[in-house]
Amino acid sequence: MTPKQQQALLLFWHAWFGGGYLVAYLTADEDTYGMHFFAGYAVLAAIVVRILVGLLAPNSKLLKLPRPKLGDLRDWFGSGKGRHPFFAWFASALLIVIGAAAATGALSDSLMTWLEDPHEAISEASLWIVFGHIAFVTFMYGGRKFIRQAVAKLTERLPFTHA
Amino acid sequence: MLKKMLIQGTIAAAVIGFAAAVYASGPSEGFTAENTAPNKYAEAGNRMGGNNGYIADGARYKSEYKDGQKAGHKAEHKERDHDYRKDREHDRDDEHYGERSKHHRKHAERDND
Repeated sequence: MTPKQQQALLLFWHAWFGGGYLVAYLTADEDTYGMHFFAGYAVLAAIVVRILVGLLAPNSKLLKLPRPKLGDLRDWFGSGKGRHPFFAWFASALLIVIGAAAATGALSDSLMTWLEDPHEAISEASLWIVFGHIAFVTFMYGGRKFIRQAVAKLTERLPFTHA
Repeated sequence: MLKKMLIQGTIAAAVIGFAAAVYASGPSEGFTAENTAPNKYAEAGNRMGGNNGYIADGARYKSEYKDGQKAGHKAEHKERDHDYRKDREHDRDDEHYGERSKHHRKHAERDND
């Protein structure tokens, strides 16, 4: 599989995962239980597929499973070079937390009904990780440039910076 | 790139949302387990299915009629009505007896005093 195809596959998976999560979160009300059920299983299936693909392609730069390391974090904050380690940290956190939310949701539906409250709590927590991921990616792919420009303009206008 | 991912995510959400809505509008509405057979029987008042003892007495006559075992025969209808009336009278007697016994109890208590 060429890197371009791998990227297309990853983007397709990302859309499937994100879209499924969005529908599942928005239909969490009891009135839309059927939709929530369907979307939840779509998310669970996306996670299972991602893990299988990651295990089948451990040497692929794009498809391998993210492996966050504390050493990478230390190195990056020291030198500021290379890919930001937060990408891997966020990807792992999202896979684990949303995976746990989807798994507890599936289990609480039939086998372990007592998991309903943990499912709700994990799902609420997962939303904040999703917000963090979106904020981080937006910052890395455009926000950083925008903030730099805004700071530069502001420092130009301030009278005490020209002294 | 971000814009592209946002559009793809929105399209995916729309597709999954549509599929989920189609699934939810189906006969089971997303619930995996239907009512169990004994419950259905009990709800219908069917003697064969067994009930939990909380179904009105009249229900069994209804089920007989529904099962078609005795339906269509005037005499049997009469017999059934007679049975039903007899049962009701018996119930009323029980109620009356209950009242009377309460009355007796009250008097007995007074006598004991």
